[in-house]
Amino acid sequence: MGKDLQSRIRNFSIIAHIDHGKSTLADRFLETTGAITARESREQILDAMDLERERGITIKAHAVAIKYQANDGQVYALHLIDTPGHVDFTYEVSRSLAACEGALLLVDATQGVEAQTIANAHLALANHLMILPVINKIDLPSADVESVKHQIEEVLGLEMKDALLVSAKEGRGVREVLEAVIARIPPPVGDPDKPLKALIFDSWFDNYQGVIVLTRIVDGQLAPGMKIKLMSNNRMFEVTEVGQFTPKRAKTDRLSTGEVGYMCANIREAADTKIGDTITEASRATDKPFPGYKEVKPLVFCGLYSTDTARFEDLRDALQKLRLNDSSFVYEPETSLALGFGFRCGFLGLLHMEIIQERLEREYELTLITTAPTVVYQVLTTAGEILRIENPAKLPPPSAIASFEEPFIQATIITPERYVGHILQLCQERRGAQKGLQYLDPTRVMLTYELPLNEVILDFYDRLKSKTQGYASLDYELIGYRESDLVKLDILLNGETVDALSFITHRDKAQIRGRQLAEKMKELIPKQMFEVAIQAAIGNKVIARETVGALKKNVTAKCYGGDITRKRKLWEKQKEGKKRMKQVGRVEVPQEAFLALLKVTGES
Amino acid sequence: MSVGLYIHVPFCRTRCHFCAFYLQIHRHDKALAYLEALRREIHLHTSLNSFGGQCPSTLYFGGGTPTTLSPDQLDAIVARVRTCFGLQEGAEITLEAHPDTVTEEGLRHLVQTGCNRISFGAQSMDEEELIKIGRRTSAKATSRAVEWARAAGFSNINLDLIYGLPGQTMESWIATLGDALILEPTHLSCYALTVEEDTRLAVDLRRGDRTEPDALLQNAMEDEAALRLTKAGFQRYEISNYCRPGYACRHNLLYWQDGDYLGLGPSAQSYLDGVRFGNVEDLAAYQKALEKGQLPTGEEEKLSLRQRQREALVFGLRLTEGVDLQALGKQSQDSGGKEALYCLTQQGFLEERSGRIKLTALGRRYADSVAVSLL
Repeated sequence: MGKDLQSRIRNFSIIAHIDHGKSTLADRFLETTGAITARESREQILDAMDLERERGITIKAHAVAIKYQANDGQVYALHLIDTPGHVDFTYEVSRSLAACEGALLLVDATQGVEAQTIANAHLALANHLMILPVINKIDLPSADVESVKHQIEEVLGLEMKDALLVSAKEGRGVREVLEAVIARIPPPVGDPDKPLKALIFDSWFDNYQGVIVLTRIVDGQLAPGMKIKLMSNNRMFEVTEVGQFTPKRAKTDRLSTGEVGYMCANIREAADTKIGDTITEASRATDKPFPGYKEVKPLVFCGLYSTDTARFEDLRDALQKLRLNDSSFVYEPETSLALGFGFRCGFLGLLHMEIIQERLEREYELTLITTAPTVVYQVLTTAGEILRIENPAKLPPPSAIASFEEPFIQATIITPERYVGHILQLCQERRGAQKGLQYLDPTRVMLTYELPLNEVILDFYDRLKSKTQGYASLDYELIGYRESDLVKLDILLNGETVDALSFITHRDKAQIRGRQLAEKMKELIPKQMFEVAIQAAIGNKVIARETVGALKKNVTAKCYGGDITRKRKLWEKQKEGKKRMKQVGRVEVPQEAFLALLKVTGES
Repeated sequence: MSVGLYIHVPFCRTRCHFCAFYLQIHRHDKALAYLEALRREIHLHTSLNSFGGQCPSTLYFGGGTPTTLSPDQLDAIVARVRTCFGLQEGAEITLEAHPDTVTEEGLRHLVQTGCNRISFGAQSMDEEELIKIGRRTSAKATSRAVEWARAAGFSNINLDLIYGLPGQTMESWIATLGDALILEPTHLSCYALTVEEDTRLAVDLRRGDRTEPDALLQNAMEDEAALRLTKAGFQRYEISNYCRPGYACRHNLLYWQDGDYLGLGPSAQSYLDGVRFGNVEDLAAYQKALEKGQLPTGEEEKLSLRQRQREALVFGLRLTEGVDLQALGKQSQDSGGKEALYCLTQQGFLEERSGRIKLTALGRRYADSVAVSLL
């Protein structure tokens, strides 16, 4: 492949908020270029996980190669790289964008820009991408193209006179977008004669071929039979297959400079193929890896336990298998007095945590008890040791703590102006410090806040949504650790501390969180044959107490033929319900109670 | 082991506010159609040899109100049962009856057909309480019916009583117990009022016209009944059942002693050879199936050995005598079951005495919780 062909490659992504029409526009591209027929539905194109489809969020990146005959008569190779659409996966997004020369900034003409869009647009600018603003849904009566243009100019400083106007739903303006991609996004600049340098921007595990890697060839080329090296860990493999998704998977002879495609190389673990890593030739290595590679560290941890203690091994096997597929989550065994043997697991964020939990329950038929998520605290002990606390129960006693730090984030919130008051109040309650307030237009405001991450993982997003009737959008990035006045709060059931319910909170919030959590637990713990006392305590000091009264009786009066049939069904249901409970001492605690902390607002 | 035969008569003159059983308001033509279907059902089971050659030792007419059928009609059913299944010598034949639906003459006729046990739905001996639950009868009618039944020759007479009724107080409950004892029944069933779904009572509760039975008051009423009836010479042999020595209901014992029984009539339930099955809860569908020569079975479930043993334990625990641990057999090899038994004993819900496992007084109050733990 010569320079000529390389000059006819365009690598680009679509940056868009959920529901702003990314998938529809992508489908139109595929139809316009004849990659698929209009009849072939979206479900058939993306071999995505059920979870993605249900949640409407892209979790894994996709890369589709399409041939497009442009108005100049030439055939171009367009590589459309889909990006994950959630704050948990910011690093993955940055790597997908790094594989492109340009991005379409797709904004809904009826909604305007959202926090996520801005964050991702900033990522694209940081990666020196050419950004083409595209305004979608112009067919709708409530479309306000001028206002959206103004917002984009205001926040991102982009030139809007060439903004593309489309209706992806009706197919209007789609060809114009493809022409703009060719005219305005530069072709890739790599050197085919240099040693191989290729960026890994996604990978997943296939039962038959091992790990499949999505890669962008920066320099050189990649072909079956080549011996390659992964630069972060120096592991070597032999390439068995390369190809592209068109969107069907199609083998090719090689991937050349500037191209995007997949590679198989008998790699057994996704953990070996780190996103952002560089592939090079084993015998003729590139001098410098592609810049920007990072080890991603989990931000959020929780304990995972099987309700059925006998299934500990099954849980371990399932975690092992899932990690083959997703190396960004980590796990290690831990023991809880209340829950027995389980695992402390780390995730990129709350959505990532929910996805893993759902997959464990769905694909491995496990019934899990999950403890409330926690951030990682840093403790300097009086002995001069630095500890990373991923499990509140492992916190040393206050007398052994010299300094206590928690992670902070910078949050960007975009909201209709009328909700600003509610949001300021919410952020205040969550210990936030305002860093900025900018009007995007007379009706929309962008707020910037510094917030402790632990306040954000406790129901912040849902509260934000409910206070703004779903209109506000949120994005955030980690900004580092800061010292805080933190305490550990314990929950006691009938006088015994339940280690799995302990959590760390700011001292000012301890009283209210303790009280609200005890109240919530009272709602969640069913009446039992005896009274259950719920206490919240800091050290030896009880700060809240609730009581679940005893069942007065539970006995069937009549138990003959027909009653037996009815009772058997009822009891069977109750028995199933019990399976989702954990016996802590004598008390039966339902699964949800271990997550009750998430339902506690900490707001007065 | 003996087997029992249950026949569901799905008719009443009116529906009481607490009742959730399958029934229809009695109409002559419907009764005739039902009798025809029942005849077919008896013949079908005869040809299928459902009892495996055994003769039932008990026959129980329940409902509904079996005495909405005429003595002649009931007589015909008993006769057919005798011809088709055979009834054991000295079989217990029970008839549930509403005091208003019997006559002295009719009762005599029924004794002649072989009925020897009668169970009257008295519910309460307090007129106002009866009105509140939609019973169009009086305590006087109950007294009269019991006298007639005794005179006719019924050897075992039961009264059903309910405690926790709307408007009922401890005093009125004690009075009802006293009035019932004056009638000298041989058997008493005392049921805690339970609000079943889709009953008038449940609707009234939702509307706020009635209040939920007070569980603590019901507990006290239960204790009071146990005390007074024991003093009067009754034995409490099951959670809700009391009898004079030797007068326990043999048919009902089958339900709790892991016995086999076949139920006929719409909605009737059966347990034969480890299979639980039930007839459809719909008179028209019941008739239709039988007209086509098919059994009117709705749901059916074959129990595993483990399920059978666990259910035998759970239902057996309702009996005061409890369950013979030896007879439970392989249960002892089932470690899950063993652990649950141990825990419940430790917590004071069960006790083991001379090889039998029983509910304690505390356990009796939470029998369903215990059951869920053991299943």
